[in-house]
Amino acid sequence: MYLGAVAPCTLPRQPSVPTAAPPPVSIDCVTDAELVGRARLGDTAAFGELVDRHRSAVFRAALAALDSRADAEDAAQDAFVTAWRRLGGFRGDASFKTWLLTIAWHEAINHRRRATRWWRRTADEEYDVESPSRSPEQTAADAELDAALRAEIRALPPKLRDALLLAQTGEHRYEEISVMLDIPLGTVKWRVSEARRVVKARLRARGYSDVG
Amino acid sequence: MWDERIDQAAREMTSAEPPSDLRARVRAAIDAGPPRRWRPFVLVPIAASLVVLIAVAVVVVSRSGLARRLQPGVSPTNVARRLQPSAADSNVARSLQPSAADSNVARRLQPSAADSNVARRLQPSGTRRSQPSRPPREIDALAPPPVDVAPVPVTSLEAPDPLAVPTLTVTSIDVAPLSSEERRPEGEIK
Repeated sequence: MYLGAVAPCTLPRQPSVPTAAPPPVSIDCVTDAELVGRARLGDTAAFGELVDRHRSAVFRAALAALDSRADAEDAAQDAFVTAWRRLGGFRGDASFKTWLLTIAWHEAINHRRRATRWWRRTADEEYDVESPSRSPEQTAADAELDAALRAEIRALPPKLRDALLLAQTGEHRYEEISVMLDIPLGTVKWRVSEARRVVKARLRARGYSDVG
Repeated sequence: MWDERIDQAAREMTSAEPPSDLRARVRAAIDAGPPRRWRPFVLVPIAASLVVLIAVAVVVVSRSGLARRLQPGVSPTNVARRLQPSAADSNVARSLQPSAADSNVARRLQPSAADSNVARRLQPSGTRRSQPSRPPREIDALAPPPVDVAPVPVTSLEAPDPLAVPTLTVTSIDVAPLSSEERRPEGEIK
């Protein structure tokens, strides 16, 4: 599901008096391309508006890669700073959001490489907590099932996990994920489907017999 | 149903809201300038300095180790002095000189206790160190008494007379020329 909403833009009515000063234009009416153009000229306020517009998509992409709020915040900040420094190289072949998300994903992956040990340790600990030694009655509890689902998602191979989490952020379309991960669109869809299949298979192995 | 539950769990894992001050943090980071990074022109002098320091340390350590090994008791001059043949050694060596007149040559050339002692003393210090060391006094007590051997006179051989070789005389052989009948035709000679 794509939740990336386009800000409504209602243009102000033209003044009846030609000599009257034009009313202030809402920032919502300014496109990303215009803001990028201003930011290239050194307008940090325009770049700040771009940050506000895309901070959710960037932060959630980083969160999908890192599974840590603190690390995701750092990665998102680094991504915006990198984007500011590379604005001169933005050619406009893709949308600014796609270009920005690609930078954000690379920053998040760099953070993840530095924190790989932490990731494995956390995943293993949570996996151990949810080890399959429970009765069928306990497995029926939603909270435990949710915890088991999260543990299995974290235990997925990174390629499958990244695709599944990015697809479920509500901020990224499959096309954007394809560009971010630098893989074909069909591969993105296959990875999401494969991730679901693997999680279900592992849940069955853990005693959830009603998994389809 | 399970696909939806998996998607829901994945959605909850990434549903956190971004920090509200992200814009301010980005602005502050941009204003702070690029982070200081290790550039090659900084790394190269540091690496070169480290290499020099390591080389100096290796030289100092190796020299101190060498000095510890060359203690006064085993200084090179001492080692050289110990390797010089002594008077007893020269006596033994003299006794080992071959002499045609001496009927006990074979007996004398067999390794005796004195000879093995000399050989032991002439061994390099490195091999001697591995053997159990004894105090010098004990070693001197074990040394055999010097053997008094009268010098054997050696008479020089007289130079032999030069060999007389008679000169060979060759008598000439008279060969008569072939007659025309005895000659072969030219075509047959090949």
